[in-house]
Amino acid sequence: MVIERELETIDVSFNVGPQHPATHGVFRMVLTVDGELVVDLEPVIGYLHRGAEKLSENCDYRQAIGFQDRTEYLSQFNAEQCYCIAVEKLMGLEVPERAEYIRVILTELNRIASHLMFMGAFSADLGIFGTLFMYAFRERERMQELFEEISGDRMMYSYFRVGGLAWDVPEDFLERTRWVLKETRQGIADIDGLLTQNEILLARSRGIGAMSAEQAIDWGFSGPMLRASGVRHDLRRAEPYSIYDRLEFDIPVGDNGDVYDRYIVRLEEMRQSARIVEQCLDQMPKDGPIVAPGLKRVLRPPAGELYMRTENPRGEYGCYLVSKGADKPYRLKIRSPSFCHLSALRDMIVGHYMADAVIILGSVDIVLCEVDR
Amino acid sequence: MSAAEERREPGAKGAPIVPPPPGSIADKFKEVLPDVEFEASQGVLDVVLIVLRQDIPRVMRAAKDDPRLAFDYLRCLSGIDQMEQGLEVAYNLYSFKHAHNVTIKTVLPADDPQVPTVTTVWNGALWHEREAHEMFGIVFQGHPDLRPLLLEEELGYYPLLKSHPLAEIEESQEDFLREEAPVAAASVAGAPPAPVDEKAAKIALAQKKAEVMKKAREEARAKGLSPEDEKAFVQEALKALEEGK
Amino acid sequence: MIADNPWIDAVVRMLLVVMLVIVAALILIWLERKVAGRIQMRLGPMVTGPYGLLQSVADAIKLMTKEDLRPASADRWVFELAPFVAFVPSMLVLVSLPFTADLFVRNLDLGLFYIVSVSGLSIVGLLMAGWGSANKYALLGAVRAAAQLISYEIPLVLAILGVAMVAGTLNLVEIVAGQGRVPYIAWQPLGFAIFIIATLAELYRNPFDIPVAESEIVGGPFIEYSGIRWSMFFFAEYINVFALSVLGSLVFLGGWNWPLGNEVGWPLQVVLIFAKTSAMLLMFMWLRVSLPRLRIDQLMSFCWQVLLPFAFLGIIINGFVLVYEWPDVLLGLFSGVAALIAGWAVYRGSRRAVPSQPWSVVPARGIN
Repeated sequence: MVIERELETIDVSFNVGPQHPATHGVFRMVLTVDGELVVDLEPVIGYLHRGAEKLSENCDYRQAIGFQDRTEYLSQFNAEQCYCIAVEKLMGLEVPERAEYIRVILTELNRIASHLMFMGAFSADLGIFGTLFMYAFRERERMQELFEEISGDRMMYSYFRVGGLAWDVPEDFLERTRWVLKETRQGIADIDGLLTQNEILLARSRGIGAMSAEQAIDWGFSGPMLRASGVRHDLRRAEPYSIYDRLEFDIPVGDNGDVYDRYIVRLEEMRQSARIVEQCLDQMPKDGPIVAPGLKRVLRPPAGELYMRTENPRGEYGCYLVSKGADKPYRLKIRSPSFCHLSALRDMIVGHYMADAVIILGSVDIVLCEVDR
Repeated sequence: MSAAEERREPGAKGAPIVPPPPGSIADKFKEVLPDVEFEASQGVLDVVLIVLRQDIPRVMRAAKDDPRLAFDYLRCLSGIDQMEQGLEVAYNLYSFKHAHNVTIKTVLPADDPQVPTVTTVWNGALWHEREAHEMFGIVFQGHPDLRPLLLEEELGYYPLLKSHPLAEIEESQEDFLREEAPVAAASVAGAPPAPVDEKAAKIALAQKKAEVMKKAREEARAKGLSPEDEKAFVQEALKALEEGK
Repeated sequence: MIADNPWIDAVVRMLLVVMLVIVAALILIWLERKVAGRIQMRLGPMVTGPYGLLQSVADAIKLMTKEDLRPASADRWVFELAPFVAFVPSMLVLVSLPFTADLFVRNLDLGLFYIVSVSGLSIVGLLMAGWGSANKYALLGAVRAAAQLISYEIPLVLAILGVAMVAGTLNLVEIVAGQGRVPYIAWQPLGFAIFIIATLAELYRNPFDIPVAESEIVGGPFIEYSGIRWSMFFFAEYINVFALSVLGSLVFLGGWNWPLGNEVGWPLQVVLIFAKTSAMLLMFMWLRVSLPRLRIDQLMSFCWQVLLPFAFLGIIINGFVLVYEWPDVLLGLFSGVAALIAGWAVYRGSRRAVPSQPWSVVPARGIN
């Protein structure tokens, strides 16, 4: 006679983070697991909150550009561009051609650099000991050297200004950028060869953390997360800003919205960004002004408010800017894509294994500074 | 003057109200919800509709569900402190189906900052509303979980309100330290200090140094010294303090 | 025989082997870092000593001078004894591991059986570490490690059993002696493949290192250890790697016997066996830095659903060929065919998920 009894188990609840190699920053998840299955999850953020929005209210419009860098420390040019375009639209400024092209070149290179960082961190989460990380960083290092030559800083560039750029690029900018682009294409091919058809990666990422298109839209996803779920939406095309309407590029769109699709979408986006940079290098005017003329030292945009959004490597980065005509912003709200993605983390991870939790978090590609501001 | 214009600050700081062009999203809203009071204007990028706060659930639900509007995407939810005019909540919406945008705003009185939640309409509003609550004190009625998100619990104030100071925060920290450390006035005179714990003594010393430096800086500026001279002046004052002990 | 008194003889041999293995482990640590570095396009240790050769010594000194921490809520004796219980079985394996026909501590008639059974004892040490650390991560890691090791012991044993069937003995020296003409890898390719995979899992190396995964559970059972205690776990791992590589080259690759035969002097035999061991070690290191890791359930299902049936198949093939006294070539033939079928099945099974092009690259004009 066999008596079947239910095995009594307790759900173990423990912390992942805030100091943890896998959480990509100071981020804490309180996981409740039943054996290996995640039953509940609570993300805890705010460890990196520095009050950037409040501080921006006390800086004038030019100083606030520095905060944008520090909010998005992996795609700085993108954040600076969003903020600068917001103020320019408020003031009705027109940025000269050459400055626009240089801005787009730097922004797209920054997009490649940010996605390379994602590749490195993602592979580290997967368990590749460090090989892909070094390959990705080899390419990133080239770009950071280029950026350092241009702006003087390896990470917090503060190079864009309202109305254009701070100063002109060095003389060998075109050749250097072409060289960087050539090497980067090879690097992307390396990463593709190592990971895309890797059976272990497929086994660990297909079907993991899938979000359907309706769910993604409902939770406020944007960028590669949204496109991986099958929604064809890219702000550079849907609401073009700067000179993106003159450029030809494609948009990779995934199928299931799982981790693998997000990886693939970002990989393809790198290639498309390289394409954009090439076109810009060809179309760029050889010389010309780099700042809109007639700007005073202290900017006083007229009163008004707007919500400017641009396509960041992580998603839709928005600046809700309220101006009362003073020299400081009245309210600068930063809408960061990682913030919205993290709010859906519970729905993505519950029901998967603990090892998958790390991979799903890696696939969201969060930047804690923009989550916490 | 319309109610919207009254809400703007009088004088040069006010932005002129530009009505939205015909056929814009404002007309669609009026068509879908004819009995709701809208005040439409054309913002820099999007059309801005100002709605009364009790209409927010109806308007948002219609915005999402009605096929003519189809706003399935909440882009951003911001709180804005307009001081005397109250608090504002701005919702930025986007529709994938029709590819149109709108910004919907409500105004809340400063002494009663409550507004119904929109988390029932879009899940993405969950964290945005939590952040608006902890930064401004706006209470979203019906929100399942209004705990602070970025700030610590039981902070006691709402940082992003204009009434909360930015530059004077160091002084309020000094007040806090002063309460904790019982500083004996006698130790200034050079008498051997009573056996107080080391931490309090260190805090007291740091405070004294800060005061001396502040006074020295003010003096130097009053004299009109150059920055290097000012630094030297402050260093001398500090040295005098050290020797005076 | 080094001395007439068997006790002194045994002690001297043990000391020699222990010194050899400790030096080997130190060199292995350095080699792993260099190989990993080179594959990752960097140099590895270069500063301490020429080409960083003294890096292991520097690490050893650092670890010995570190503060010995113990969590306050740790179960004291379990926590403190765990490194020893994990370390000793690795050394015990060396007792019956011969390096040439004369260089061993004691050549047991049951050598193979002894090695397999003793190497499984280290799991007790890991479990003690996980339990005694009073840390949920450690407990999780230890339990995962236990499950993994127990599961992968079986295909490992079956692979080695196949060799024992072919050789007709469990005595390691005689197994090597029987490989004068052809190494057993030719007779047992399936067994060799299973041995490699099971060894990787036994040693908790990539792609099977989820119990000690640093990026997930921050070191698993070893999370609360520092200083000498941690270095004992670390050392135990490398000694295990070394011992199992030597075992693999003895049992499958022909040991010191193939291809030069038994009559060559012992120095050349030692060089030969170390060359084969190094080949296996380099392959393990290469796999470590280039593959992602498997999840625990994928790992377990791979063991029970793939490795085990094919290991049994190998045994059955051996049984048929040996009992009916068919020529030895058939052993290699059948085993090779089975290995190819296994490889093809695994390949097809894993490629089922590969998309040809799951994503559409949409020309951007005309969106929205």
